[in-house]
Amino acid sequence: MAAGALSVRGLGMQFEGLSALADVSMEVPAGEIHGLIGPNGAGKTTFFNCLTGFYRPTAGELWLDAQRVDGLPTHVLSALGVSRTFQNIRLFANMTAIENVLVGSHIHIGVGGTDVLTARRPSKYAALERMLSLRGAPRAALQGVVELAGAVGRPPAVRRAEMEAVNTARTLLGAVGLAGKENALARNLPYGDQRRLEVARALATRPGLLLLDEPTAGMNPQESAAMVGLIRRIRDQFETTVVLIEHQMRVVMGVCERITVLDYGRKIAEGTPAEVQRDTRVIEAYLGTRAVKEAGDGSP
Amino acid sequence: MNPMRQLGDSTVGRLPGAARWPLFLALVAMLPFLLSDVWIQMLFFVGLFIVLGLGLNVVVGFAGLLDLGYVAFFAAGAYSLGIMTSPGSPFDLDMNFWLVLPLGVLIAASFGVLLGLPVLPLRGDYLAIVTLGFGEIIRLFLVNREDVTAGSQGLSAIARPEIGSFQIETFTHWFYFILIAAVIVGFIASRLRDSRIGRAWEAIREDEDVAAAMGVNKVKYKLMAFAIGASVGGLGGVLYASFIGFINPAGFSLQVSIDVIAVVIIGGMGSTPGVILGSLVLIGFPRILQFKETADFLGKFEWLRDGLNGIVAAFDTVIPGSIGRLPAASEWGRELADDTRFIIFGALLVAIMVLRPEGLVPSRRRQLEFETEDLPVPAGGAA
Amino acid sequence: MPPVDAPHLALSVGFWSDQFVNGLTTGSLYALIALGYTMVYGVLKMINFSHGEVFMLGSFAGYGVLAAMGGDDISGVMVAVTILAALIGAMAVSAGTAAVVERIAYRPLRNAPRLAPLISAIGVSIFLQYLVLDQTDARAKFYPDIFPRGDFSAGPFDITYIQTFLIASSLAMMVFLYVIIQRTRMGRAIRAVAENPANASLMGVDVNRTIVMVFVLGAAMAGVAGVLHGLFFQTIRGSMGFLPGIKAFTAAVLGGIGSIPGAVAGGYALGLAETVGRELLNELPGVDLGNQWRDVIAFSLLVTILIFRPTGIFAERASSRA
Repeated sequence: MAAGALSVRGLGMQFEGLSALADVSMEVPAGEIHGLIGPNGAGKTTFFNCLTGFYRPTAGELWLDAQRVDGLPTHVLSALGVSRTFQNIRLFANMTAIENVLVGSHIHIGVGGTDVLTARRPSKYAALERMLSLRGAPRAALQGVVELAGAVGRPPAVRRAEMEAVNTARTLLGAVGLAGKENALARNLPYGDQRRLEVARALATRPGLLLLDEPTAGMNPQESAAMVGLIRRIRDQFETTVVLIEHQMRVVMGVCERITVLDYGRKIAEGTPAEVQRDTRVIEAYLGTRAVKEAGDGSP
Repeated sequence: MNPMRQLGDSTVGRLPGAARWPLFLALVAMLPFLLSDVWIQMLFFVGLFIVLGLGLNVVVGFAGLLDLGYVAFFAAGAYSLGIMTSPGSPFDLDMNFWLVLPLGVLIAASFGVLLGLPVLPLRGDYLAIVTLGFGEIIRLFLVNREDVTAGSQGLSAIARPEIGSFQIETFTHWFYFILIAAVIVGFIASRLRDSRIGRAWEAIREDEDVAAAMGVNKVKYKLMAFAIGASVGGLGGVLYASFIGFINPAGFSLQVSIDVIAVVIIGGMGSTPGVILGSLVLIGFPRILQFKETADFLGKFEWLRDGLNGIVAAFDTVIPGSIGRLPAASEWGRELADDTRFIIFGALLVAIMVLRPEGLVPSRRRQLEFETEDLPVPAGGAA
Repeated sequence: MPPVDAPHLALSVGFWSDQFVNGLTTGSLYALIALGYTMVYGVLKMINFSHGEVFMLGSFAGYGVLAAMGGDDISGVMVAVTILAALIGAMAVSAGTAAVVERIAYRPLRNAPRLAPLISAIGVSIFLQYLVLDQTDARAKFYPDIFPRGDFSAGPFDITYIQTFLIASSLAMMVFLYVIIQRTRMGRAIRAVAENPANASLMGVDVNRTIVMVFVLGAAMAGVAGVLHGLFFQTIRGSMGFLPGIKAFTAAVLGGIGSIPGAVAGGYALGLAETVGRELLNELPGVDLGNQWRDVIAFSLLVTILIFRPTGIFAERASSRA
């Protein structure tokens, strides 16, 4: 899938009166590596959760290329090209490495029809919508039966699709440096491998927009550097747009072309790494007000 | 030839495994030549619960959904056959068994879809309570809608399958019939487990939010698992009704659901050998206890009963109360197989969850899953 | 429900007020039982399937006390004394059972995969139910008929003494529970654990002890409900916990599971829906729901809520996992 341009317009997310995101807007052109930084609790992961349909934004709009996507269910967003990794690694712990990746390629193992993509955004009355969606029920049921029959009968087409998926999965595992570890259970992998496996799994969905939540968390400098290289390679080879949350400044400054800074759920700065580094509001957010004054006093 | 199997079990060695099942089945197929009719009848029920267990296993073991109202689908299948073939049915359709068989399966599957559609998008716990309630509603329906189900008087002379002029009648015929059904269901279940559908189920069981983020339509696949479980329940119902020839609502109580759940969970969630062993132990053994031969055999232990009752009596004189005396030794088997069986099942379910959650014969995955350790261990240990 | 299936007296005031009082009566029982579900759910995010059986055991314990103290021969002041004793006995037995069950069947599974405690709870439920069925040879027991007969009249309402007692003591128990939760140290601990067990533990709350208390309090309510059920309906049996269990859970969901006032409101709402609601439906042309369909109403209500207000009611959001 070709890289996807992301447009966020006035995004807001409220939890029972608590505002986690307020009026966040940003534009990420296709093919960019975009950093999302901010102090703990700034709303970065909430932002990802909105983008992937884990949360339903309470205000604003999300556009992926020319399509409005906020409020779509998670699996539909995935099919439209949004994929992600998780801050606290969430692999399918008891499946093997290659099985994890194969789940990622789920909808691309096209047998018996892919899942019905109800790209229609649901209204407020979700329950009513669900009743109405019963109109598509006969077709969905038929597709389900075809898919089941395919899995049981295993005609050559299905075998071929499965075989191709396995080959793709091997390639992806190789690309992130996990060749030879296909059959290890995910939870038996070392920490760094688990992070890389998450990336491979996310890539298997063929994303146009890849969201990486702290991809180098807990890694040593060498591993981090390797991850930075990997992120660049991914963008070039797989033609994806990348948005990453990161705490290690060296990584952010090294890999990101532009950066958005969040603080208390609001966007406080945006620009190239150099611009952001100079921004007083950013320094303020990170170091507190006093540090800014001192910095101001010290430099001309 | 499935690549996944090759990958997943490359170190296990599939060749002996491939030969294991045919060998096992050949041995089982010889049983009618060795055993008397009571035993074959017992084995029919073991087979029936293997079929039901394999169906529920798809729901509970593969997809991780707890269905406590499995009897509803069993009843749907049985009553489909009863209503459409019994001469005493309010509709008097007098249809052919082979025609109703797929219909019954379809009707049960529709029940499953209709019940699952509203509940499956929600958290798993709600499914458990809704299915539990639904099992009871079905029973109420069977008792109260006499115009459809003939109520508590039941339906009799239910059709039996004929193949040409050959009629499936004797216990031995039925034994083979249920054996074939079990093989077919087992084959379908294993094929599904090793497909992208099975992987989707496993992913949903592991972490359904992440599965969705990877493009798995979780409601669709939960519904699929649920519908397959329901179909197999319906199939079991049709076979049971035809075998027994007479059905009434009393045969479709919560106890059936408990039996099947126990077979799946105590045997080992997700594991076919587990279901087989579970059915043998939990369904077969209680029936053996009810044999007349068992009663005769236990009757020889009358002395033991006298002795034990002596102890009880001694207690009674020390602490006056109304502690019951043991029943006649020949009754022990029957007593144990009756309500006592469910006391044991209940305790076993708790014990299994606390002590050995993977069940008696764990599936490869389940076994690994429940030895949870959150810290990553160096690779290679389990590959 | 003895007086429900009277001849169909549509539109008579007395009929509807009777339905209303009947609804409050069963509603009180549902509310009392629902409290146990909602409290456990609030703290452990788990459906305690064995709660219906805890209610049943309370009912049998009350029966045991009444029988031991003279059964049908009790009269005069002793009636009040024995009923009080029965209530206390039932609370003790129910609470004790719940505490033991928590220790044996739930606590070891607190960090297990989500299916495990659910299955364990089902196991406990089956075990307790069939244990009692086995001990009673699956026969019903009958509460002694000692409660004074008669009724109060207030306008169109006729309330029998037993109904008054049942409703009043249920309300008293709910107030008692509310005070415990809101005003005592233990109540604060419970609220803290429900909010966030890890934080509560950091603040020095003994989480295990608090969870046991949650089970004990909920079970005590169910025990009282068991005795009241016995006094009112008189017939009790080993399988009696099943339907009230499911219905009380429905009540808890109706009011928003996890919420204590919600469980009370849900209980009364369900009680009224089963009586007044059913009769209202019967007023519709072509509808004739006999008494036997009462249970279907509760169930349909449960499924309907789950369809139409699945998240609104539970105040949980998509990715939260228990």
